[in-house]
Amino acid sequence: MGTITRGFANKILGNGVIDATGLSGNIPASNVDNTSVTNITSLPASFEVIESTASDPSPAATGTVWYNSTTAAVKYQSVTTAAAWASGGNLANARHALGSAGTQTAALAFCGTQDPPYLTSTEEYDGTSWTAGGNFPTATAYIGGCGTQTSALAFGGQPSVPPSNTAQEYDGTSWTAGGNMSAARTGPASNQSTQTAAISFGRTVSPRGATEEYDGTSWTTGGEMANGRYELGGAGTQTSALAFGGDSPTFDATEEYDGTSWSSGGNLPGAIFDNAGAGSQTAALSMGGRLTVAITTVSSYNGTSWTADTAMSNARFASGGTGSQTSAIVYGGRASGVNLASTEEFTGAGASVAKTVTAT
Amino acid sequence: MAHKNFEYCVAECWGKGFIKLEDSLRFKITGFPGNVWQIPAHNQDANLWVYKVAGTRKTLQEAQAIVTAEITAAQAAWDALPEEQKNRPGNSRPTDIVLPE
Repeated sequence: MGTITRGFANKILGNGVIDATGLSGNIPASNVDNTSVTNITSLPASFEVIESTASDPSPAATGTVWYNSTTAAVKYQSVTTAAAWASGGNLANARHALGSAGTQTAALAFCGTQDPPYLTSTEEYDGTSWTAGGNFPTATAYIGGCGTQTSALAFGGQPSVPPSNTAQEYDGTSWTAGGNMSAARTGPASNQSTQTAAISFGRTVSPRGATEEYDGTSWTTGGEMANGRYELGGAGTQTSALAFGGDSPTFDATEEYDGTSWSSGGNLPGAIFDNAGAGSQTAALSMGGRLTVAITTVSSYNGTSWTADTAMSNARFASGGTGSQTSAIVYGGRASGVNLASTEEFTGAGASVAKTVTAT
Repeated sequence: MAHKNFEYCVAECWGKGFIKLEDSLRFKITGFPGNVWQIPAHNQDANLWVYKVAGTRKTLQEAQAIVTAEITAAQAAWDALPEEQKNRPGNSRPTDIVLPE
């Protein structure tokens, strides 16, 4: 048998598909298997070898290649080799000592202070910009938060003197009163627990290590931290929480909660407080904070020890912070006497990201 | 001439896209009061970023003056606060910042 000559794919069109018209190619006889070619009777004039979309697919599996017709770019999904920060949309209201909840692409910021005034405003983040949500019933600062953007919980805080023991539930639109804690607490840690299985730890008055757990209706007393503290970093869930840093005195200590009691974990690289937290008990981030002045320092926890991670662009303390160890976000805070509106987004090493193919 | 590690510019952070992930992967950007941004010296990617954000180049002395003015204003505002507000947690007096060369 001789060679076969057919019209075949030859070039990529502007919309990312391959055009099969106009050219031909020879398949050597040695490569032709009679059986395998028996059923091939035609080829389409053109067909897609990579998907053409108006926007990047999400989620996209690692190795996926596509053509973005909006930006006229060929892109692919890869993994990052190093951690890095990028700027996000600015808060409408600069603030510090705010409450936080949600994820990097669906975060919640509420309350806080501009020293003065204390704030009632809530803002919702969509991965690009912040928009106004329902106002908190009372202007409050040094408040804790957890949950998601559409199912968040706020607890404690300092609306005035004395501090608050109340909790408020957010449904994505408005705040309604939840069950009251047994004692008031200012400066509890925000964390990644949920509205119906929440945990609150840390407070300014003794016992500073007091912990309370919420079931969506009422609070019950949990185990007490060995290192009583406030304005600390928090991560994890009700049955697997993490406490790190905090005041007063200033701590480098980490403690891990198992739903019943706290036990010691690896120490932070240095004593800090007013640090933001994200992630889980075995994969957490401590972001910013201060000892004397605001810092850009970021540390990663692996369940045993902390290591230095890529620093933020802006020093900040008492900021909002949420997300996971590989996809976190910080917003607001304070540095050098100024309340911050800026947002920074963290992408950890090994995270899946879209990259653009560039010609050289 | 002394070797310098950093260069400075002034640019207003407009939010999303001001510092992209790919920017941070290529070089380190550090912000200071007064919209002052520190980038590594003699870095082509950093120079392109300054162009992208329409940054205005500043010498170390110029950048330091901007930062110092911001800190001085913040310190004056703090000094004018009533004692009750000065003593609030999280409201310590702003400290001076010295930009590195």
